[in-house]
Amino acid sequence: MIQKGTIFDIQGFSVHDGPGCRTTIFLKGCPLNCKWCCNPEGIAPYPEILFYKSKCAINDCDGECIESCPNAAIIGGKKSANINTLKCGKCNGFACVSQCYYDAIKISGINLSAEELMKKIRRDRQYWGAQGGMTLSGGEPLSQIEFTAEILKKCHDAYIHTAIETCGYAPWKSYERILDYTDWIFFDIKHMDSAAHEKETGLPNDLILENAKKIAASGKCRLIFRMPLISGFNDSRDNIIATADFISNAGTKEVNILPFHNLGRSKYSLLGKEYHYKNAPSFKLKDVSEIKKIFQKRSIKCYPGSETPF
Amino acid sequence: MPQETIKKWKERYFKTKSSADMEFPYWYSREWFENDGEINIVRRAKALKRAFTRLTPSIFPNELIVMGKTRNMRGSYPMPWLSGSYFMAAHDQLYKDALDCGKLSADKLTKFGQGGGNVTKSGNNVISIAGKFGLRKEELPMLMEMVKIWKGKSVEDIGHKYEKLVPQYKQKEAIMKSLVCMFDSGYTIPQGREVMNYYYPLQYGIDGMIDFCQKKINEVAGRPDMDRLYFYKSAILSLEGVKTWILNYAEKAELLSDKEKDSERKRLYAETAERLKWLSSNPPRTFHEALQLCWTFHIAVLNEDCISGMSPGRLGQVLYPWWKKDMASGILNKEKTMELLECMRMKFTELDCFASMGVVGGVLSGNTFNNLSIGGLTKDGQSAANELEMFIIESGMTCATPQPTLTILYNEKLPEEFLLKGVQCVKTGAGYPAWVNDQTAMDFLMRNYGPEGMTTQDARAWAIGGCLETSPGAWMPLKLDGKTHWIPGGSAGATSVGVHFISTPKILELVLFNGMDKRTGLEVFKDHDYKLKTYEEVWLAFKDYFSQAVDVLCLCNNVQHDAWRKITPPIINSALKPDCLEKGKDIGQKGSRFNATFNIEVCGGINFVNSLASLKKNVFEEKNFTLEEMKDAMIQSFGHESKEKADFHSKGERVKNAEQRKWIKIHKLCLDAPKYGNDDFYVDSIFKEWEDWFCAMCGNFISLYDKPMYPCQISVSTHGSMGAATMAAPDGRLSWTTFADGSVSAYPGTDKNGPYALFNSATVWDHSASQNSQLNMKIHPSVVKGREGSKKLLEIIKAYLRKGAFHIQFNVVDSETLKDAQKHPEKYRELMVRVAGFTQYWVELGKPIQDEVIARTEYCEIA
Repeated sequence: MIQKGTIFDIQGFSVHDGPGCRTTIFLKGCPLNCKWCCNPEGIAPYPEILFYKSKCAINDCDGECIESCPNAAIIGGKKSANINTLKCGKCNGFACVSQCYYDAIKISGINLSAEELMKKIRRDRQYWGAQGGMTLSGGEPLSQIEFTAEILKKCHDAYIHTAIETCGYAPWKSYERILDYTDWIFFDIKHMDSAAHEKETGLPNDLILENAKKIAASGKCRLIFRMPLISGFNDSRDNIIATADFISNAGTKEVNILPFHNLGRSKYSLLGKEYHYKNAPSFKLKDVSEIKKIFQKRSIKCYPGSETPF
Repeated sequence: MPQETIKKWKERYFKTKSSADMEFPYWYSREWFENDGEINIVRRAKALKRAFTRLTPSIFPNELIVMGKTRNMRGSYPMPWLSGSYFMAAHDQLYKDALDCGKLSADKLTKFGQGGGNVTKSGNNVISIAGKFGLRKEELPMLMEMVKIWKGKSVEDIGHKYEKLVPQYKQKEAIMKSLVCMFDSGYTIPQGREVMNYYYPLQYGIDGMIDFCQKKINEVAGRPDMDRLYFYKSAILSLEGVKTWILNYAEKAELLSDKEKDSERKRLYAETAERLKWLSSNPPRTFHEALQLCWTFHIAVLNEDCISGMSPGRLGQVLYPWWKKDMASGILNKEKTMELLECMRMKFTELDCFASMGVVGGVLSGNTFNNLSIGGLTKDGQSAANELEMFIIESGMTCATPQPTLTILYNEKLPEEFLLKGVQCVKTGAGYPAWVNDQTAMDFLMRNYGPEGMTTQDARAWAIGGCLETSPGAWMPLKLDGKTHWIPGGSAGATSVGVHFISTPKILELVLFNGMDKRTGLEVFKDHDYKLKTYEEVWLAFKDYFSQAVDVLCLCNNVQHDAWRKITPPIINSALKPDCLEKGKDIGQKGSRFNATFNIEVCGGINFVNSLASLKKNVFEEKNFTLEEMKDAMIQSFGHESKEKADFHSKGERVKNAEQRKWIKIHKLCLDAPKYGNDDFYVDSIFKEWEDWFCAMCGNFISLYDKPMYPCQISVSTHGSMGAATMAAPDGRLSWTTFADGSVSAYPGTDKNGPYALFNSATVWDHSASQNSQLNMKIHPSVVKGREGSKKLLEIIKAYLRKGAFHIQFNVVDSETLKDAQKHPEKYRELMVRVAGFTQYWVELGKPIQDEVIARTEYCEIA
């Protein structure tokens, strides 16, 4: 079966998503819709337009992008064009991208076959060194389960270290398909209270917690929990304790806490989306020492930010 | 050294301007003209001796290593016997003559950094000469007098007289004026880009060397091959000059000691006096003495010629036997070692090279390229890294200054601990150490010097001479306390002289315009008679023009170097280099062990390759537009203002003109054409074809020493000046803007698929076919943060070199910092960046190079 994957970034010399130097592949599509998401272009499953309004100079060109759009999603403006994101995305050609001299329109998302991606992985493998490997991230890699399973198996067969970053929201049978081929799993826990979880991510957390327990019980791969720290959402002492207890009960011993940053903010405007966390405070690493203690009290190794032992 | 002392020393250095003075030139010239009729080399030796004897000694507070090139802290001087035209006032006839034959073209297109120690404007009692150096007003008449008496007798003038006899000489003038070639090599910086050899003074001392020469005189006087007699006599005279020079410093130290009230300082001065007195005759007894003697000979060589890139080489391995001995006996400890090494760094940093503006600014960016190599292999193939080298790295961190820059000769056998120490140093943002591939270099050396008898063991003695020039070495048997230590040192003269920087994008431009240079209106090449109907014809025409340029430049530079070796033969440097003393021949007479040392340097290769890819695709294959349309777009710079109207140097700052809209379509197609650095076979195969052809063709040209020439691929700072003479190109680059740096770095912003894709593109050809290749990478500090970050940085270095690549170096810096530094230079006096083979203070760089460094693709992580 030739199954293509939709990928929005491939990052060589990726250094924080698993052991050693790696290549991280970002797959499009995520069932959650976290309001703080720093990769908002990973949420929609299909390729979409990123519009750099500040680069657009509609008065200094012939506006070819406007004519090229079959959906009439682009309309002229005073200083720059405007793109109606609701209308856009229905064509697969993205003719507008190649029209723009000013590089104001880019596509996020290309389709690659497993073999095409493997070619890049095999190339990069020459440069990882002894420790490295390949990480599938996103979006949610399991939302493209056919492709993800194929890549993981192919890598595993080729003696390549594999890791995934998952939000945890996928049918258990999807996890079952990949566990044998996955060395490391970074598993997100966003909130222990299902209602609060649903409010900020769009979905409840029961399936996520269920999957986490099952993966831990399977004993098949190294499971590292990841917890984004979002001020006012999940950083209360109660929630941290509940999270730590959950992790402890699941029987795993590692958590990587990721203090919130708003570096993804520009991407929201590129996508024409509203960003709710525009003014949210960034977490400072020194603020996490209390949180770290809560985990450590339960014998859980806690790595803040990029301070990981791998 | 206590941090407070180093801080004060640095402050003193930062306040000091580059100063020229006339002491050395005056005494040299006076003695020279008093000896009319003397055998030339002896006449020169007498002049050198007189000049060294007359240099006023200056000793500055807290110096543990003393002596300088001149009495000024950042002191240097013009050498009118070498060249005089470039520091003449613009109204002088000599200057105008020089302009006419294209000698000063690079000067006119070069911009110096306005900050730091550069004296770019005259004021008060100081005159700015050669764009960078301050000369006291009262010394100016003497300079003018010197230039006049040397007129017609300098290496430049004599060389020029005879290079005109090369049949295609007229074409060479046009090549220089249009800046197809950056500069003449014979009278600008005729020595350097080589590795010092300190063995003879360290083993025998000055008296021992003089004795040796005396004995040799007894052997050769009156026998055939009499040039040996004059060489030995000259060596003795020069060494006597150096001896007196050292004694003058000893006397000065004594005087200071007598006057000094502070007992600690009094003691230091007295010890300095004693040390120098001993060294004026004898080989060193301690590490401190050995380091002092190496420094003394280093600057003695620098004073005999106009030199950049005279590298100390593997100094940590040379000095190791003394260090080990002193550590064992307890007269040295870690603190004292660090103190001496930091002091050495400051002394090297104070060095200036006086040459023309185009060379010092446009090529060197004010840097002197004293490259210290560490690591590599021993004579018997083991890791040569030692504990002293760990301290050398450490001192590069505690006393971060541009000189000496550090290079790790990377070999799989080096210990991880040593490599990680190097990584730690890179992470400080100092820009050094650079990492070069030991094996690739040795493969190149064997290929190039094998015919002269180089063995695998010999090859292991190599080091970097200059910024990135692979230079041959030799193992010398140092006997100390009854034990023999094989120490490495240089075994050849300058390994980078010859054809200096041919701009490949400029030649492509001339191919498209049938040999006419639109900027100057000159016909540089005759009509090539190709109709340019196919891509292959463009390629053939390029090969034709490029070969023509190399041919005439090779011939003319050979003439110039012949004038150099005849008029100003290298004597002190020759006395140090094996096997000149044994053979009785100086470097110019092929006295060194290895002599296949002439090269052909190129610049702008990546822009050239990208341009070919765009032409191939847009004009010949897809026929998106015609060649005529392409040429119009180039002339119009795709509708952008000329640089004169807008002060920009890199592609980031486009200034559109009213016509720009017309060119959007073509420009877009040019920018979208395949670009090197993305693992794209379409353009990488063109890159490989170019490299394979270029590396092979160099061997068709024969140097002054009757050896085939070889390729050298470093940009230094020429990508700024040469870009400034080249119009827009099919790769979409705008007119008069800076080229890509290095030789395998991508054009800024065009490598869009990460470092691994870039590595793949860079290694499509065999780097051991060239003296070097150069890759500069800019990494955001967050990527390599922490312990794991260090290990990962080492992984990426190893990975690249494992592919056979020759060199990689890093700027671990945030682009935002650099932008701020451009706006507020006063806040960033200590900021250093890696340019291309060297580290330099940000404020001492010209704007074209600053812009280029900012524009480089920055590897950072989006979370």
